[in-house]
Amino acid sequence: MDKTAAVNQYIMEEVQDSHEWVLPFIKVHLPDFLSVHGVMLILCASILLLLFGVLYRKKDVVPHGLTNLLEVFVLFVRDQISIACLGDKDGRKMTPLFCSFFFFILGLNLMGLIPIFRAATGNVNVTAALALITLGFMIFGSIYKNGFIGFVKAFVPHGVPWPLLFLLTPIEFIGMFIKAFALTIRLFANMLAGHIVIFALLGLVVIFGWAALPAMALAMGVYFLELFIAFLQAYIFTLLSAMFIGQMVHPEH
Amino acid sequence: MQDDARKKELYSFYGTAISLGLNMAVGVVVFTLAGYWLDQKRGGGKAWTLCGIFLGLFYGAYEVWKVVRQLSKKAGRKDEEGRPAA
Repeated sequence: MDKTAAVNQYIMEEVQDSHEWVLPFIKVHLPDFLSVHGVMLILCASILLLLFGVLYRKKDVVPHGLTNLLEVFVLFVRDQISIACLGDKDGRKMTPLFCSFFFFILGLNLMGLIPIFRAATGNVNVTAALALITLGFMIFGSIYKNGFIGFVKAFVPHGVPWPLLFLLTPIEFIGMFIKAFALTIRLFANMLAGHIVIFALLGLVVIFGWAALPAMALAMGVYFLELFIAFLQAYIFTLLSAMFIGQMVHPEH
Repeated sequence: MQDDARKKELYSFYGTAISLGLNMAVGVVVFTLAGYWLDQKRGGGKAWTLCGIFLGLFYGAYEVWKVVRQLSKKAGRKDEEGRPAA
């Protein structure tokens, strides 16, 4: 196999889900019901449980250390995302969901940047599952809050001539699914593309040898950009989820 | 209270603006694929695929119109606030 094909194969193996977890010096064969991305999800959930269930000290009057750091993010999600999009009452109630979204996605994104782990958010099934939760809250949250008639009314745009409503109302309804689909693609594509770019730049060194050494610096730069994108994508997914749920629960009149 | 409503409206606008580009692209893809699927089901032809493409483009234009409407609303309110009292 020539070098280019080997690099291609390596990149595909790194970004795709599989039942073989390659660690330094060993290959872990996972059972059929568990893939590497599944392990990442379980690991991230366990880390979050450890962080918030054990290490986070709620009883401290003045939070410090790790509790203080986590609280900064929790307050940010509550005040700048949840309450800003859903209002004070509903925003406070929905904060646990958005905090879960934010920290889970952030955890998965950051784990993907550690060499022995893989980015589970680069798997479309994972992002689709997260977007489905948002879609569920958009539909059932709206029905719960406004009743079925209120839910249907949310798709009727205001300020348009009534003959156009026959065209725009179904489009608004399909738009709800398109928004959830776009949410899936946005996170998946951003994380997958970032990782492919890093591996492709490193692959240049394998193919061209010393001549491509400056590509290492570029890969390093993209790595730090990915670090920023990990936070940005977690924020964007959470913000858009809150906004879409807010638009359905409190439609414009 | 009014501040809260303004903040919510502002966030709704930002979100729509952020998601606009991808929503347009996904809209075209979804409607086109739905049209293609209908064409395949009806034994060939291109009519539904074309309808899908146009509906997708219409959806994109509609999303842009929503952002523009929100922007004009904000601009109108700014004008009103800036106007000296009679």
